[in-house]
Amino acid sequence: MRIFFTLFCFVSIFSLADLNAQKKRLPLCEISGQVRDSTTQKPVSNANLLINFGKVGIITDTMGYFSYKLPAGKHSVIINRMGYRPFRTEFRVVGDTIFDVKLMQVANELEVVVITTQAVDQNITKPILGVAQLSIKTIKNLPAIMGEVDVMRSLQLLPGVTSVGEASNGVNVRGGTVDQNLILLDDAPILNPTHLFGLFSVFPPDAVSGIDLYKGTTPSRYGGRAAAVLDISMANPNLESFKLQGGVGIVSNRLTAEIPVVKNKVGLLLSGRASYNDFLFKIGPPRIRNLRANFADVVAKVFYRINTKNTLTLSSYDNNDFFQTDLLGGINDIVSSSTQFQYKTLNLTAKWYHSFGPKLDMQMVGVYSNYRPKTILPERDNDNQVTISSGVLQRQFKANLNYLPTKNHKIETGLSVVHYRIDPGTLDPGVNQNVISLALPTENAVEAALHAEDEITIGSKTTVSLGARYSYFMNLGPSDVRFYRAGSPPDESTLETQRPFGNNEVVGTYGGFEPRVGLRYTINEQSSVKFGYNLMRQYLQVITNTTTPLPTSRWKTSDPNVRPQVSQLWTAGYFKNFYSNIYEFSVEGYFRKTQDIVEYRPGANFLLNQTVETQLLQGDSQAFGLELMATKKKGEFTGWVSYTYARVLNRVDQGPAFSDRINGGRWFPANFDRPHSLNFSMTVSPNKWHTFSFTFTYATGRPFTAPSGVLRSLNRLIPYFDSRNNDRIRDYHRLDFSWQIHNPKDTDTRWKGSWVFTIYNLYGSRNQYSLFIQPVEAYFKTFELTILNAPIVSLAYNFGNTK
Amino acid sequence: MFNQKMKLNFIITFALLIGAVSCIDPFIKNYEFNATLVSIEGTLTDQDPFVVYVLTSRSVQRTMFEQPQRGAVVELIAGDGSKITLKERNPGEYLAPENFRGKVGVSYRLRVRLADARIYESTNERLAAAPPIQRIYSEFNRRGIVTTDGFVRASSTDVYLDTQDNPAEPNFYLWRTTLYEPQSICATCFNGEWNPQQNDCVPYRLQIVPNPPIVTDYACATRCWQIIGDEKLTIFSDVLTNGRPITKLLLRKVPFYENQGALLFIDQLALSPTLYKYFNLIRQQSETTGTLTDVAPSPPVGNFSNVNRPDEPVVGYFAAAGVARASLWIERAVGGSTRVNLLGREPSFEPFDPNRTLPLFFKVPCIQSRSRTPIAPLGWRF
Repeated sequence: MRIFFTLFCFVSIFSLADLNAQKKRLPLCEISGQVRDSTTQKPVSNANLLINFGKVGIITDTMGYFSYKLPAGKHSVIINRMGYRPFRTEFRVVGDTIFDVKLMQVANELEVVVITTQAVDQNITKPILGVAQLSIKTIKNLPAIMGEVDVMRSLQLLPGVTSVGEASNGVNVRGGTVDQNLILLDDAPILNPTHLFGLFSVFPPDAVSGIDLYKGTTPSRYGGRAAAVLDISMANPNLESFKLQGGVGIVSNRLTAEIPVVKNKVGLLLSGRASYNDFLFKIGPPRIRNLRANFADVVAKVFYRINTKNTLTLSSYDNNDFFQTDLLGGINDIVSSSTQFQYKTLNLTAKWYHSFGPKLDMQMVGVYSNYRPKTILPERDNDNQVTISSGVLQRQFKANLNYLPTKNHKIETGLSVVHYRIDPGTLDPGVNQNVISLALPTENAVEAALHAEDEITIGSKTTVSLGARYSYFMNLGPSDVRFYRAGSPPDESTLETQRPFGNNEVVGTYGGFEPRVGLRYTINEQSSVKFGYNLMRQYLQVITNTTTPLPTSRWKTSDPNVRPQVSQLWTAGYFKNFYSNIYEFSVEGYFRKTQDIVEYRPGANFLLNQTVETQLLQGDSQAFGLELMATKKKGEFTGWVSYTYARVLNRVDQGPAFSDRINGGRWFPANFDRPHSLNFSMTVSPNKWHTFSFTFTYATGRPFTAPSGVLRSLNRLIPYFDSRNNDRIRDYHRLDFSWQIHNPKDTDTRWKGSWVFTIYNLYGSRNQYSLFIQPVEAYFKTFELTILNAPIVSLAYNFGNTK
Repeated sequence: MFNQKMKLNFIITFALLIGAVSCIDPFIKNYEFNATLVSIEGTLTDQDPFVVYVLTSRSVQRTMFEQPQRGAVVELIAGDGSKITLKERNPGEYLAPENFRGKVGVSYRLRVRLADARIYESTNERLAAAPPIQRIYSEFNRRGIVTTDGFVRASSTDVYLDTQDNPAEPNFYLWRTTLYEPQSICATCFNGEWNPQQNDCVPYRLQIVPNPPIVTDYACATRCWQIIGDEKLTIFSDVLTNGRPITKLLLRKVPFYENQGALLFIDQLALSPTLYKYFNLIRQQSETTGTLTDVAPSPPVGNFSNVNRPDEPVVGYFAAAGVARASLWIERAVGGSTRVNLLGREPSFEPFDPNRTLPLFFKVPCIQSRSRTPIAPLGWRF
């Protein structure tokens, strides 16, 4: 046998002495073998073998061979080679042993961190930028609070995605407000993306297959929101075999079944998640005994493969939340013992896909979406409940044609019509004699759009995506509309006339073109530059004056008094891949300008307010940022690191009067303006049994309004606030850890289980959610509200069948 | 299957985890104040003399001081154009003729011309009649006042109100309550001693000022009552209850002080929508903060504006409000209550203070002030 070995001299004197001592005592056996590439079978030279954790190091020769003499007994070996996944094993030596090893090239592995998918070099070749496609597998590997796998929290690890803090009812994408994101779950809109007011996402993790976040160039098929699109698709059921998976966690339990009803023809996916553990609060510390919190979501999806050219999909999503907490305040003008929140979403989607041939296909989608939040006010001395309910009903039809006339053109065209029916608020007193029954008039509106886009390849280096959408919005009667003096903000003093409109009579219209342009120029196979421009119009917005919208916040369509928001985004980026697309690097810059953002007057009250426009002010917003990101997509260590510098500034100046402006009409930072953010995510999979993940996040503290003086009023000293968002809370940082143990018994059985141990906020960072001021005796004091301010340890068990 | 011990461990762990979810703690933050504001406050009622306070409020670095605006011309202008000029009684304090009262149904506005010719004017405020208070009653609340951790600090007498809203128009209410508690401590000196000639505390002349300070309380020489205003603003809009009875509205939680009885006076004021909005703003940003959904605070600008510079923030308000009155005797002969001292601590007579010159347990007079009176309130039960 041809043997060649080299002994490296990094072994300490003590180790050598120790080894020599062993050699004297024990018979030595020869361990030899060859290291080869698992795919090509070629020898791997210069692979580094560490025996017994570095006590001995040898490297393979040019033909991949190695040899060494070890005493009989148990030994460990780790084989490393640049570009290959490390190999680890333990073995018992009883005599001379031949030990052949095949190393797997990292480049041949499936991507573990999938932030861009479909093609390994898509980030280089696609003309659109600012798109992040997170795989649910990646998200499941990230540490999750209380073991609840969470889409929205995971998104916040990406550059350009932030929030106001732990209890944020949504995310802010590149300077957009929470309601400027179009969130779709199997084409149906999600208006409230979190359970329990920001603690968990509403998307059941086992039913989700893909997550696309468009924060830059948005394809023209999407519209209706000003900032970003989060398109989440539900998994199709397995048509061949029955699959069951589930999990037991400290917060919720979940179960997902995939049932092939007719093999290779019809499949059914059922997925449910529920949390009903809140009775435990009653035995907790006194301050949480009043807390109640439960949620549930259910997904059902039928997939019917009619034939090779037609498929039909029916999916439904239903969720329900209930919680009671003093942390969300109450309603002053109704006497009650507590304030409870309940909200439900029911979404139904029907999708027909038809292929006309290899060059043309069509998709038709019908959507029904009903979101119904409710505030419940139980009376003190009886069982009656006063309720304030509202609702947003959306019914939509859309059709899409995809046409590939030549290899240089990809054409997509289609139309969309959505009808909005908003119940802004209904007060139901029940049997309470003191509260009136009240229902605000229903708002009706239609938004229609045509879109077309062509992805054109010019030569071998340039691809252009030229798209446009034309949207047209009509606010419809019946309604009683107030008209105010032109050029003045709506106010009782500027009211000119009031006019009733009949059923389906057009009250007001808005509309216009929405160009969507993307350009990619390939510098070489590994790098490209891209430019993009977007214009988006938003006709449906949430009306709120709180830090982050409540689930019960009011939604409002545009009308003659509330103009739609129009946002333009310019982006540019440089993308580079290294080492067979194992590493990615990107730098993206953007500038966003938004007209007619919705702000509110001091002391605004939106609850059951018939003239809500008198509480609003509209203004401009500008956001700009630079995002840097490096990703390692394959190998034992995977993950990414990103840094973002971003600003979001608003300006409201609707008139000379003090109440018509904010901060004297000057630019001021938005609630979610956090200039610096750094995210780090790392997953280590040393073998098939263990996966370790760490995520670290840092962000500049968000703005808050600090007093600029003190006043005596009403026989007390009160703080005087001059400028909104003139100071910042403490910077935010947090480290999370998770350890997944897969199939610990290592048995090849039908059912396999895994444990997930998570520590959220590992070092117990006391991150401030807000700073606020409250009167104390004759003066006032500053207090901090911190949320999730200690390490939160959790253990979850997941299971599923594999055969 | 969980056994009993595991189940208990699980429950305790879960409760602790959730307990860690949120916390409210004091936070030391120093603000660098820099604001100079004109502040005008006046409430015209159908029952009381009309007084207007005109001040300049200056906040610099970490302190605040008020400068009375002397020599201003303050005019109350009725809807029919008639004017009443207020006279300066004390610096910055302007008083209408002693017998003048507002009239229900009449609109008024206030115009203030400062000595430097700046002119401020309020919006028109219609004086609406306050509906009568139908019933004032109280309930003993053993766990009335709790700490942020949920532990009982004191039992309380919870005072509730019933009234009938007027269905003919939108109504906005403000309730002011004044509590009279017998007070046995009439002065408290910090690092000093009572001076009977000056009727005030005089600091010790010491080389090193003791820290923490020496606190000396002095008992009252005569009967004395502490006057305690509202800690919270109680306001109400009838937008959700128009014309219906308002019942069991919590007005005030009166702590169980060690006294056996106390007297509470209640004023019910009918506000205009503008004033309600102003008071609601103050309440929103000074009392209902600390939630996950706090509203960003904004300047407490009321219904005054500078005639020549509409963008100047003018703080304060002019209110015209009808008033209805009532009173309630607070009875504390209840067993099982948790009580607190009116001082918030035990009295400290400092018998071993070496700097003391007055006899031990020296008593001081009860001096009439905004917070104390030697005159028994009307309706006091001796």
